[in-house]
Amino acid sequence: MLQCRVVWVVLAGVLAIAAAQTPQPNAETIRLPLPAQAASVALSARANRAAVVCRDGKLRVWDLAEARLLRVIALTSGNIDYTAISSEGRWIFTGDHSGNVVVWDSETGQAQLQLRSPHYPSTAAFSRDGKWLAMAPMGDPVQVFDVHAGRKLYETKAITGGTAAIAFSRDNSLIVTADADTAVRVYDARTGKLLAENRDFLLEPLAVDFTSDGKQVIAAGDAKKDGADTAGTAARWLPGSDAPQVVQRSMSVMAIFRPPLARRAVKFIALIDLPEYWP
Amino acid sequence: MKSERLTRRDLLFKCAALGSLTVIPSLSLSEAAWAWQHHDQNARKPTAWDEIGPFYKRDAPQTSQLQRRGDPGLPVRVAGQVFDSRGDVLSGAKIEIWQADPVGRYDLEGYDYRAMLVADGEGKYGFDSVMPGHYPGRVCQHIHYLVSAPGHKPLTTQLYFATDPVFEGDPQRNYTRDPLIQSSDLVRPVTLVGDPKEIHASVNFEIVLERL
Repeated sequence: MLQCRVVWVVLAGVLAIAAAQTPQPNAETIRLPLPAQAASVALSARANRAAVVCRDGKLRVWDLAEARLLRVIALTSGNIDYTAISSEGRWIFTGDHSGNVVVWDSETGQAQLQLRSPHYPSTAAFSRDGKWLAMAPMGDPVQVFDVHAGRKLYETKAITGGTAAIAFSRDNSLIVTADADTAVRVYDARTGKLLAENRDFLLEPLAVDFTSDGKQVIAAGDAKKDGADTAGTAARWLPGSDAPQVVQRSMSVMAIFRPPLARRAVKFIALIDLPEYWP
Repeated sequence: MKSERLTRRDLLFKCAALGSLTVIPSLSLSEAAWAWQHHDQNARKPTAWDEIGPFYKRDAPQTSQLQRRGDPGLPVRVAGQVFDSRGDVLSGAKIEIWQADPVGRYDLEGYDYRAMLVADGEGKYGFDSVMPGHYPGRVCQHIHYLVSAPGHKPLTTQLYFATDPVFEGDPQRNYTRDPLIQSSDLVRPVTLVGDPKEIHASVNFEIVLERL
């Protein structure tokens, strides 16, 4: 049952990427044979790579275009809660339930950055150029790291309940967060200074991204105070009622599933204009 | 409510100001000893953190009656008191609670089984609800809390029930079966009260906030 779900996860990701690149209904699909059940999956936005953490304690990196296994990395800890992969596919973030965080270099299989967080990770995202990592331990402020230097740059002001989702703008100058206190916040990515805040949501927004032109933030959640702004044309999500835990982005759209919300997730996709903050 | 008592921190500040452990003239050694001892006697361990989860909804109504007439499920009365870590009661503390209904569904459209409470002059709070149901993705029955008070660190946590079948009667040993439970302190005893026809559960859950 779970293995079927795992295959579905990977196929769903492949479908999403393929659909984003060629908007045709009959997109090519591939199957990735996994020797163990998958615990977490992440898909790179540009490199057609998938990072799959399996229950056998190994991280597997796949080239989706050729359905080729690129690398197998033995993880230093189990029980991975969150996985993320950089846009170009080089850096892979894994965070376990004990708060152990590692950024892996998929080219060498070595750990580039390791740290211990007081709480397990809620979300993480790399900048589009792969230089920075933004990570939010559950209930804690967002922390931003220089991946190459292996050091923390800053952390944002604490938000009650923490952050559910993070995204960088395409030019890496902004960070947007979907926060548990129901606000969507935009920060200067270089300094962590808060630039904008939107409190239209009544329920916690669960995912965010910038539109491809960078002029708007897309925030997805379960309710929005004034309802009307469904903006369905700006969003697309994968069908199915038994969706996996994956935040799937393409260049302009995203689909969000986080159990146990799977069957009722993403009722609203809100488009939030922030032109005054766009350089 | 701000305490007028001399705390250990106050005492240490006064000592530090003199550059020694000499106590200032206005403070006798016995008073200093009392302050030290009294602080330790009343100190409370901050309530364990637990994650806020994905179902928080702000602007919940101020009510202590979450159970609707005719609702299925075992009625439960939850009561407690809010303190700070020095043991002072926190009157006026804001307590937001939300839970799944008896069949494990959160109300995302409205505010069923969601409420905001304000601790009274003695820091006490209470509400009437029903035992939350189990649902896929979570192991244990639970009620979410978000507690805040001026000058204190906001707390997100969850209340669990020792009677949850998941614990098999031994929550101290089995609480880790739900990976989100950070401390067995969050699993509270459940007392069944009332006559057999109108039995309900009673749970006490004390909240202790850390000072900023």
